[in-house]
Amino acid sequence: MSLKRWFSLFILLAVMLTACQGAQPPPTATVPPPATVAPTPVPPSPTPTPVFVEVLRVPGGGYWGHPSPFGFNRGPGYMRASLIFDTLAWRDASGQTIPWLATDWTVSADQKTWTFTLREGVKWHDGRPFTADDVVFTFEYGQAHPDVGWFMVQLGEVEKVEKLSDHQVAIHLKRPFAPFLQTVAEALFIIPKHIWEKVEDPRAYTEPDAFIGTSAYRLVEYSQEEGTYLYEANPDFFLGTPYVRRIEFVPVSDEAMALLNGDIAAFDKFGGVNEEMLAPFRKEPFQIKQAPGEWGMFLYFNLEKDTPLKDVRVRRAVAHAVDRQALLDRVLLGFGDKGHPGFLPPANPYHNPDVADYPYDPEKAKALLAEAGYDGTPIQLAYSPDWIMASTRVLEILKAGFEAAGLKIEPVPMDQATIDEAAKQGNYEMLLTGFGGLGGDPDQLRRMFHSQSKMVGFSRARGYQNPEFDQLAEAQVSMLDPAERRKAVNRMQELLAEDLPVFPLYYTARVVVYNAEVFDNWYFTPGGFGGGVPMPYNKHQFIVGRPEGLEIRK
Amino acid sequence: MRRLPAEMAFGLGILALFGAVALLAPVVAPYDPHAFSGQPLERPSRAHPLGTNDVGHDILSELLYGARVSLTVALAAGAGTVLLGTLVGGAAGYAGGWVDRVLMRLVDGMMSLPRLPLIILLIAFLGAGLPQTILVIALLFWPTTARVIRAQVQSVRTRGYVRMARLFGGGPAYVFLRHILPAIGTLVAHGLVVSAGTAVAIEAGLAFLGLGDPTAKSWGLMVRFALNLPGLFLTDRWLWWALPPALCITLLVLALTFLGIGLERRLNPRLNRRWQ
Repeated sequence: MSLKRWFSLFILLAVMLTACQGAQPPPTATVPPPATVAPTPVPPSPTPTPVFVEVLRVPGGGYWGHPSPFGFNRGPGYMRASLIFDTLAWRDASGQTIPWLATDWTVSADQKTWTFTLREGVKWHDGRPFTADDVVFTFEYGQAHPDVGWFMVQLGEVEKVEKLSDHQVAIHLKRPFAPFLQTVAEALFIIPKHIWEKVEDPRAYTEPDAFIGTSAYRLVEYSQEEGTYLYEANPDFFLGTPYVRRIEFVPVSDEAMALLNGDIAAFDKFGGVNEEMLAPFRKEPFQIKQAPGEWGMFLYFNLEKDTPLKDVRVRRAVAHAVDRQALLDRVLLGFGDKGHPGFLPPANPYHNPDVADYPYDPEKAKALLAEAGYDGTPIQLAYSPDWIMASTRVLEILKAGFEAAGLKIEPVPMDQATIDEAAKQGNYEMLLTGFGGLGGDPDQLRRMFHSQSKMVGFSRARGYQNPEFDQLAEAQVSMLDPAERRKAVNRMQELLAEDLPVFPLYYTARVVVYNAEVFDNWYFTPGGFGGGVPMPYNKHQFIVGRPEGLEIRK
Repeated sequence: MRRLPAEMAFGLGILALFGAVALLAPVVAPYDPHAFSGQPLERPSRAHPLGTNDVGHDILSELLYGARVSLTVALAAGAGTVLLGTLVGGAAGYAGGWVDRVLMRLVDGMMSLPRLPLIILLIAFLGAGLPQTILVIALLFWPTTARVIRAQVQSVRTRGYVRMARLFGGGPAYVFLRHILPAIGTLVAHGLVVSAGTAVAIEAGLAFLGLGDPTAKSWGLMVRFALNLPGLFLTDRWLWWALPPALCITLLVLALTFLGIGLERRLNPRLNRRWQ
């Protein structure tokens, strides 16, 4: 029975492969207009026909948690929740902070009090009015549950939040905090007090009212098994009915094929594309937008564990044994940037290009290992082949260099949830992982590398202690003069490059390929949205149908 | 000597071919399959007859070395399955009584379990790797063999010469090895071949799902990496990257199946008559 089942599975595969020969579209074939196109204007009428997108179907398939303010995982999960929940401020293609739930804000002379004027007439999806009480509650609830919610948001910097009137709040900070707008106002989901005040375990709460927000979309359904997330427009949204009326994240096996066939409206890739793959989309109605790398792949060294990696010479040897050029050429197909020992990628405005570097040199690595007295103790390397498939290829390239340098590595494969948990708990010796947000505020360096950082997240470095780094990291937080802050952040990058608590391998360039007849307004948000999410799925574009501003396209 | 039936000849031929490839892989493969012998995604050329994969490994070399993984699994998992099946089935059939009842209820229980989810669960628990894959296949697929073996042992046990041997004081181990095993030999061989075919398909399936050793060179993994390339089917690249390993898997499973059918006919001449 079983034999037959497996056999037929492979016959099926073979048939599928053969069938595809027939289905392979000749390069000149015109692609029929996708079924999802909505805006074909109907008979001429005296008034201009309203223009909107009825359905935007995009590739999903992965499960990123339930899209409540506390149930999502990582950037893709934040993005899925951001369609339902709003923040005080947001960000559009200009890279500037724009008004959102707040229409206006001012900051006091001592930079410690931010006063927000809230938009009037905003309603929760259940019809209740949104008021200053919800904002005050959100901050207090977040501070009472510090281990859940979006790890980018830094509520620890907030002293207290005060309701000035029904539509005005004052946020008092413990100290002047340079990245306040990007990492708090643009990132913290405001939640309805009347729902969450009765919830004690916010992460596990999945009742239907966990998905009641103020934003432009309502959750229709999500499925853990299939990884689908379906949303429909909220007609009562405060800016008006959104330009895109329905958004569907659906599982797709071959994204390029699905886009050509009109099954989806767009797909995006972080690295690993080349001209051959983009060629079919270099013609109408397709368009391609690219952006530099804000998503990186890293080797984390756990300095809390008693391994040879405690010795900085061993870490430098590891760095010298990594052929970053080969990683860039072979894993990303050249579509990205080489890792930079200072951590921040060239795309970050605070990137410091002049830090210690570790060119590929297995002989030098060998010498450093000998100097450090490395005795061949194997070091475990946790990685996640089923989550980031590229990590298998990365590992193969690393292996070659490590073998040449005489470094013994024991790969330990894990799934995504396990590896993120191991990273959070510091349960690893060496870790191969990746994440985005690197184009965001450089305060992320403090949060990842400060020895006393309170951040609970998979990007937190383990056991790194450098008093000079700690002191600079604390000081830059309150530096409001950009030149002064840049100087401090530059030095922090120099220290990271010398001490190597983490070795960056590469940053993936990003591309979004889309059918402009369905939706023509895709963009990458400079610095990322929600505190640094680098994906091309900023809800702003779906809502207004334009790259900038708050006026909905009609 | 009777002429070998066509399906057996076909099965043995393919198997011998793959066996030779697996043994001689280092000699016949143009490159080390783990070496970065070319640029990523090269098209077929004299240097790389099947081109290179997404990181620049030679696809032909991967394919040739892949035979090793598949045949190892076929042999090891097949043997493991048959060993377990013969032990349990033999014990049940020979001892009878409560031993038989207990063992056969165990077999019934195992056979009613949904196997694919169980395999995935076990692999997640044991970790991904070739030894784990082999172990899991052997642990989950022996009951089919056990049932067949038990039936045969029950019938052999009652034959005159076996009863005589026992009467003269032959112990269970002696009788089983000396008299019963030879009588069920072909059946064991048949079980081995059928289990081997199952094992090959399952290994490929697991590797394809990402539940094998991700850095091994196996056919299932080759297909997995090929299908992961955006727009694989937009060009003719799938012809030399995804198709060859899929064909190899199909051919090997087919060869083992044919061999199994051939053995079954030899075992059971009535089948022959019915088919004629």
